[in-house]
Amino acid sequence: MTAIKQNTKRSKWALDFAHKNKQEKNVDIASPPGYTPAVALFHAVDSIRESDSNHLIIKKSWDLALGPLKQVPMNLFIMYMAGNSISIFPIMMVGMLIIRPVKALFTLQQTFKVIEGTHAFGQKFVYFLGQLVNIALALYKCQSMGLLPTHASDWLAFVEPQARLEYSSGGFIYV
Amino acid sequence: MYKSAIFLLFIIVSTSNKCVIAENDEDTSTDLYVIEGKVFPWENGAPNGWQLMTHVMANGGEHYGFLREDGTFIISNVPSGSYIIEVVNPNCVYEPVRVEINSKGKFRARKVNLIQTSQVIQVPYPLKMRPLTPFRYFQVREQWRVTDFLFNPMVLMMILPLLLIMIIPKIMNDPETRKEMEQLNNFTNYNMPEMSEVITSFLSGGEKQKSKAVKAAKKRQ
Amino acid sequence: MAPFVRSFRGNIHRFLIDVQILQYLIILVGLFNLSLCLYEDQVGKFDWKQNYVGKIKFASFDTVSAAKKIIVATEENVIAALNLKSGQILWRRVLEKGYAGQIRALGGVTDGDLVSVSGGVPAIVRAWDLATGHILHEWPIAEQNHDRIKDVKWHIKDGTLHHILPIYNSAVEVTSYDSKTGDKLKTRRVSAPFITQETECVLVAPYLACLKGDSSLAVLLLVHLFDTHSQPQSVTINTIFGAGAQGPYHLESVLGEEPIVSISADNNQRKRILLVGEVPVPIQRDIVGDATLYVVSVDNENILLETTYKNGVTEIVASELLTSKSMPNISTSVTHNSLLSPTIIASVCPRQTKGVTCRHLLASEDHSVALLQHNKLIWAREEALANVVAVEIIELPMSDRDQEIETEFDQKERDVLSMMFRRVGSQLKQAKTFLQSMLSFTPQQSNQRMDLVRDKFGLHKMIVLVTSAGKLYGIETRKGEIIWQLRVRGIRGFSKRSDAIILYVQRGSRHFPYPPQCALLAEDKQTGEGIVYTFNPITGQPLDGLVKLGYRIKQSMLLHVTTDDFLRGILIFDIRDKVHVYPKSATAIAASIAKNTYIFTADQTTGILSGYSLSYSTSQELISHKVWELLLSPKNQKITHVVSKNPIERVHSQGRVLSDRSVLYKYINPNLVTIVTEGVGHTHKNTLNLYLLDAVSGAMIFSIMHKRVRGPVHVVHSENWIVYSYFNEKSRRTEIASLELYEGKIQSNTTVFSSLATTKLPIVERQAFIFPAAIESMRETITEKGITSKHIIVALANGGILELPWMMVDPRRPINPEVREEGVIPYMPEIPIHMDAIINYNQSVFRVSGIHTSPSGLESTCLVFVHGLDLFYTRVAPSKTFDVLKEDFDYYLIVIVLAALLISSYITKKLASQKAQKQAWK
Repeated sequence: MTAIKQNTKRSKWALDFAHKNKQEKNVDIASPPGYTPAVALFHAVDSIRESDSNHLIIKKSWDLALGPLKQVPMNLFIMYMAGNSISIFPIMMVGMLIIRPVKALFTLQQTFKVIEGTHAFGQKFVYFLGQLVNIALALYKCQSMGLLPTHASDWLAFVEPQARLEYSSGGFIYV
Repeated sequence: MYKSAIFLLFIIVSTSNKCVIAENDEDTSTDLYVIEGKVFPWENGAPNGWQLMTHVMANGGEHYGFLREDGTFIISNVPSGSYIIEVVNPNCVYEPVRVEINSKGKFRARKVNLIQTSQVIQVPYPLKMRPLTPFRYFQVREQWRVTDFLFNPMVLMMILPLLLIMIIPKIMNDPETRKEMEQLNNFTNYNMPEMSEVITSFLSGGEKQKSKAVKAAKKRQ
Repeated sequence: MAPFVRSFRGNIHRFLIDVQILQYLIILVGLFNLSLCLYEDQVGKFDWKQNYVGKIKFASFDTVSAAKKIIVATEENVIAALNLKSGQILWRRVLEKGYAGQIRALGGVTDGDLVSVSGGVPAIVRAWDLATGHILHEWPIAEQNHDRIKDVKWHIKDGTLHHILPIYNSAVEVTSYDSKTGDKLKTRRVSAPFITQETECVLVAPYLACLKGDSSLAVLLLVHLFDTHSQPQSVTINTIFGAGAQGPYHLESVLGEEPIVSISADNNQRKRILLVGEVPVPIQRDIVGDATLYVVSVDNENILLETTYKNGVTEIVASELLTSKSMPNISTSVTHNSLLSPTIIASVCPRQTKGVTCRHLLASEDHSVALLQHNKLIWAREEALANVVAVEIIELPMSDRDQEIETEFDQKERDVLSMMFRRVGSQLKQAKTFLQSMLSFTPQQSNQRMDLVRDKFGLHKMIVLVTSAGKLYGIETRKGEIIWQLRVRGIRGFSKRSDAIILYVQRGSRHFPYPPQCALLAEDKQTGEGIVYTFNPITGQPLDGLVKLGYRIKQSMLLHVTTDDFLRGILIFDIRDKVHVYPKSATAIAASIAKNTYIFTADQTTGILSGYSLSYSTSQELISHKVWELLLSPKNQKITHVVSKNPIERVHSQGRVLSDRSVLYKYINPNLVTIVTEGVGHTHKNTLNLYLLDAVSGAMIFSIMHKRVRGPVHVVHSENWIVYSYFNEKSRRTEIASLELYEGKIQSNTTVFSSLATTKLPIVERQAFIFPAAIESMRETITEKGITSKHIIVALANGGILELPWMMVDPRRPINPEVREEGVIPYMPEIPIHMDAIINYNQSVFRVSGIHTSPSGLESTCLVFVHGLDLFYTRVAPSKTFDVLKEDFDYYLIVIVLAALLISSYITKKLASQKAQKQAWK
């Protein structure tokens, strides 16, 4: 219940903000960054809903939550480009692929502070899932490049030499 | 492993078939022969006393021949058979020659071919041993050159992205290109609804009803 | 798409920043630029070479040529000219190896030409240019008797070579040849019916002197060789010795220009000389039996030089030959370290303005040669080093300061108080030395040379050499300087092992304050019983001295465990299969491990291999017990090689990664022994058999037979592979074959290896390659931890030493090039010899008898010592020097690059903040 209260509280001033926007629509001001008229045009159909500030927040949060998933095709592309050979650039690319989601997972709390709205849990979950997918992709890449120590040969360097039980010596007789 | 063994066997068999002709070193004739020849020094700058540094070796040291001052040599006391004649010199590479002496004392000199032992490319006898090339025992030290540095792939890899970073913002600043880019973006974005939008609308649509239902429930309470 | 592009740019951007950081790292690494081969400016930096000629057989002073020199011919089949002033080799000609190059006569030097007779039947006569060493003429002596070559006497005089062969019971056949052209000049037969097989004859040109008769009544018969009509003259022993002399008599010719013989009598107690001529003149003077004689002419007067050696003093007494008047101005007496029972082998006494100065070339018992000029030793050459039989490379001890630190932090006592006392004590000591050095007192006498200390990387070591002459040398590795030499008198090598002397390192230099200790195992010269000689390998001081064991040694073994004072005992297996421990104090420790100790012997004559276990030993006594025996077809096959692995070898990688990333585990059996037998096969063709035998259980692991193959065979056995070379008679080429043993894809026992427990035979991979050169010796490189890949050091017959990567003879090199494994080169039948893999560049070494490799303190580097006629030392880095910076590492460049990067980053940071500010204001 408290969450809903907060929402209503916030929607008050958020609503104000929207009003202002509406009033000054005729004034020729440059579009805010990230604002594309086409999108506006596209969404003009359901502008009633857009006026809902709650919706906007949720949308922004969804944007954030879907970020990692959106990176997936990009990552796939990078993976494809990197190839399976083990050389410096593919390695660096793969390293980047794996490090970024891991980093993102570590800073999860900070990222989640931004997410608000009714879908917070879902969004958080989707965000988390997205990062996991990215990690999985990177791991898959590592696997296909043969970087994961999944074979016996990868542990060969740690195999201790066999201890010697018997000692022997000899050769040609001297006399 | 079997394959390798079979292959080896094959090699051995195939070579042995051919080299039977050359197999005449086992007859018991006790005549001894003399192999003759001449070793030529490396044209430019053979050091003084190169004859002293050089000797001729048959079959890896079974028989030796030493050079006279003019480079001629003889290897004496050689029974009939097949001999690889090598010139031993620490400064120049000489091609070895195989000399075959049959039991009648006929000489034949040919190029050494260790892989196809039956292949005969005759060379004149008495032998004329000419140096192929001076020995290169040492690596040449790399010298640091600017061009080497610049055309180093690593450096190129570093410089190219730098250039890209410098140039792309410039291009972006150009109003026309920016417009073009935007148009391109618009164009591509035209048919693609935002994912977040869709989900939001989809979920919130459901939620609204839900919340309404909840509210209704509350009211009922 | 817009966010897509943006995020892409963002990605790229972040990516690039990270890339740049990485790239700086890469550039740093790139500066290390690893190298395998030598650069030209590194010549002589890590390597050195010493040339030798061997034990002198014939020598003569060349007084004819403009440049005075000494011509020598040696037991190693070398003819060389030595500088008179310095003893350096002016020129050297190495003849054929062994019997084929054996020098039988050398002469003509006084006539201005040099003629040598060498080889077996037919002998080769070679005439050499005295000044330059070129060959002038070469011709073989055709008609000769195979069996009598030993009895032939050669005489070279005035450009004529006389071939003198006594024919039993009839005559002496003298054949004369022109020494230049080989034309047969004349054949004479001088009747000498008294010569039989037992007759002792010496050549005293132009006579042949023969001693005939038993010990009581001996007659000396003299035959003039160039006068067919003359009758043999006879001189009775009584006319020489007078009455009362007793046999057995021994006849010797006295070196020098004059025809003189010496006869020793009374069990070599005394001897007398006889001047041979138309009328033989006996000199009625007793000469001590152990004196060696030489006759030199001074101003047309013959002078007899008697050389005696007593208690380190060499005395040369000169006297006029006929009158026995002593000549004190020529007589000398000299004491020098490098003279040991010397004999004069050549001498000249030219008359100079100041008077007569004699130069004597002295050859010592220990094969060293020295030039003595009037009381003064001008130079000495350690020719014993041309015949090295055993080598060890030993770490040098720590410097005094490090030793002090070591004693201070000794682990033995952990009492706080005493630790503190010690600390204070050493501090005081340091302060004292510091004060002393400040006040420039005389520096403390150190018990070691300052430069003979261990260096950071363990590259500076001591090579301990045992020579066949029974002389030991300590040579430091940096410059090849002989640090110490030690003579062990009255020992000889084990006869059945081609005069091998066994050298063991019982204690290294790491156990301060205990001195390092080496032990020598050899035979007593008189009795043939075993001896042990222990010495300090760093200083050359004998430790326990010569210990006579009183039994003959059959086999020996160095224990792998140490006593409390870090000494490794030696197990000695005597001829009655009894086991002894040296030193005795190690018996307890030896008994404690006897349960797992095995010893095996290989008898070359019978072809029997036997294995003995010591498991029945009690704590007081070691008892051997034969556990297996194997007979290797003794009729037509002879065991020629028994090769075990290097006991200090360590294998780092336990398996090999296949292309499907599974592991093929190596079969690393430390008890595996390679046995090679050579001989005639069933169809009368040379065959070679190779057996892999477990020395503990006697199990035959693998065997292979090569038909129509003969020696020389060289075997390298290391890790899980064996590489051996042989000559293929069918294709007439040298081939290298390699075997590799694998356990399979699973290790049967991951923790311990027991020869007795394993029943599964290993998988054997094998392949053969053509090698385009003749091989003299082979050895694998060894490093401390075995991480570095292995190379094979191959000594070639042409004098080069090749570093051949093992990868080239890998038996898993695929024949089908599509089957690729990582790091495996496709099969090529011929192994190429790369010029830059020849590690001794143009410093050819001849007659290589062995290669010794030793790990250094650096894992990447292996020390290589090649011995033969020449000594050569260098170091190799098979996997390149990955653990040390190159010596020409560009420190300045790296500092400059780093500084530039720092400065530029600082500046760009500034610029960036400015720009950001500007944009904010816009």
